Amino acid sequence: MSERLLEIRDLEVQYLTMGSTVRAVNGLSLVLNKGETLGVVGETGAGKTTLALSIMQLLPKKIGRIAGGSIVFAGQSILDASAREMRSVRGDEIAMIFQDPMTSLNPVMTIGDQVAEMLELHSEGRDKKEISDKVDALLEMVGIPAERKEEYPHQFSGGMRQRVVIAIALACNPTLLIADEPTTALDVTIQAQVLEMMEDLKTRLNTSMLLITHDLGVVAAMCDSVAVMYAGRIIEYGSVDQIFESPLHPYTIGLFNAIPSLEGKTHRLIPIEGLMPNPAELPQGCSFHPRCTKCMEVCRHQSPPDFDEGGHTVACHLFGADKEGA
Amino acid sequence: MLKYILRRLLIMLPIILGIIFIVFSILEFTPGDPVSMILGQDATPELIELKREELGLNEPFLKRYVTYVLNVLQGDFGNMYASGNSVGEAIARRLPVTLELSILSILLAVIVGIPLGVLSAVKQYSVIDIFSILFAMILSAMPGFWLGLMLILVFSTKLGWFPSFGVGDGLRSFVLPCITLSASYTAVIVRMTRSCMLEVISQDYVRTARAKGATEGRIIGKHALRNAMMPVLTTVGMYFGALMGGAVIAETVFSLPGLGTLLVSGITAKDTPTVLGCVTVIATSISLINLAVDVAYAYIDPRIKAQYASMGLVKVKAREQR
Repeated sequence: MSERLLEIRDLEVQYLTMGSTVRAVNGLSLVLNKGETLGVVGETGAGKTTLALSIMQLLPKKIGRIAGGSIVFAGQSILDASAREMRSVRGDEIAMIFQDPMTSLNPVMTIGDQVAEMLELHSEGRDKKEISDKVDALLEMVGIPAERKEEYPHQFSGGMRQRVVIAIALACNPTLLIADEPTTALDVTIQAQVLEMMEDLKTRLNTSMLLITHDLGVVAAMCDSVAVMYAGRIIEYGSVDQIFESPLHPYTIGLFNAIPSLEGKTHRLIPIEGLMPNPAELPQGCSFHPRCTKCMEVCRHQSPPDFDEGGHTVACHLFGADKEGA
Repeated sequence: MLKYILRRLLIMLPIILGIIFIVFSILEFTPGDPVSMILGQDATPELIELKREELGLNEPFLKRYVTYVLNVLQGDFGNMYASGNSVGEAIARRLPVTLELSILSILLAVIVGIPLGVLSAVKQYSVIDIFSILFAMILSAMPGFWLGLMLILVFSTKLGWFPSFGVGDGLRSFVLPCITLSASYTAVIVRMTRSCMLEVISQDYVRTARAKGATEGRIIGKHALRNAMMPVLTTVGMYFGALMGGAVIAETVFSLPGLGTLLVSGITAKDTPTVLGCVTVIATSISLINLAVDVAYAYIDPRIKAQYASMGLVKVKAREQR
């Protein structure tokens, strides 16, 4: 078995807003091995970005807090790390690619300076010349001519900006790359380019990746394993083959029914009825039960435990010992 | 950039000529006669006629406007009606006082206002934040003349630290007037900086900076502050312009010989040359300040710089196409 890089146990994240507590992540557990890519999929509001921000310890101050659980990265507990330790981890060991390239670069700094800043922050003692050469190399690596490094973000297109964001994230050869919907804001042709580039860089630098997306096509192309998130919890986890060939959870099956297939006859897409529950008032029992077509009596009262079958985990009363209880 | 500045300087000329024309017309067509004010109510019609001729008031309106503008272009602002003293000299005597007062006041407002605003945004809802909001509220609630009088009462009369009037004491004589003037401006700058910073801090690129592992100081100083400065800069420019227009209340309370009091006395006496002279100087300095603010924008924000540059470019291209 390969080495564990990131292990999250029973993570609980809450946002405290006026008068109510929003439970964005509820008892989430996952494991990521070195060199692997894990896809995290789920609808908007499932808590995917919150998960990413928790790992980075970048939850909005004051309103966001981790209420329980543990995050262990490379054998060290991130939740116990001091602010100073966390700063040296951020960018250097865990880097993040943000969702929207149009807003995630500083408009008043040249892109060269923004890439160089990452290098300056994490590798003291190197001289200006070396940093500048490294910036050139990084920009070339993501397909931006080095002579454009004196230009500002507004002089680049969305796809080019996302390349800059990726260059920044990869500057210090991080061991873990968190990509939060890296291609959502891009059009399809650029998406393919960016994904190909990330895949290429990942194999070259042997970086592990947590790929957050709601695009199952991206997951199939990029990931080794998949975690399906619903209402702040992972409801199904397995290898790409397991999830794509034999999805178990009614929600996962619903997700697959909601995407058009190129093979076979075209029938109507079947959407999952209803909306993600309000995380401030999660339903009792299984949080998916109000939308579930296979809802049973037990689902309304009891939260389903994880059922493991050869590394394919599912949290649903349809499976495992609880079946008889229904 | 240089081209942009030159073009803006050229545009200033018609603007100032227009301002002079408007003020000239207002003074011409509003009731009240400077001559009867100079000579008093008992003056005979002959005397009045003589004085009018002497001051050149019998010439047609437009001709007088053109003559005045030509004289101003040669640096001659004419003489005051009442005393016959040179307006140019009076302005030259008072302009340094107004300049010093304006620059020092705006500096004080910026030096106190911006750091306090930044601090209060970074530590939102903390004791510091509450204190600085309260401080700003008190400053803006105090009327200038009252604050001036209170400062005189405490620091001149009781403690004797600073002079209560005039400019005879060098920098020390500007301390109390500057505090008086900058109070309300400081309050606005604190609040402006705070709200701009709060907005910028929640931007995605600040989160990117955090994700890089940058220290909080670097995030605020290098990433947030520059982006938050644009609206603050606009406000500072506007207030600087307003201060150059004369601070009548502070000048009156502290008996400072500045442009404000000169202008007001000119208006009450319907002394056209004085008013026009002051207005010309004030209009010019406000135009220059606006230009400086626009140039500063370009240095803060590369997008605006690109706009300035492309404005020239678009014109050149249009010409080439023709």
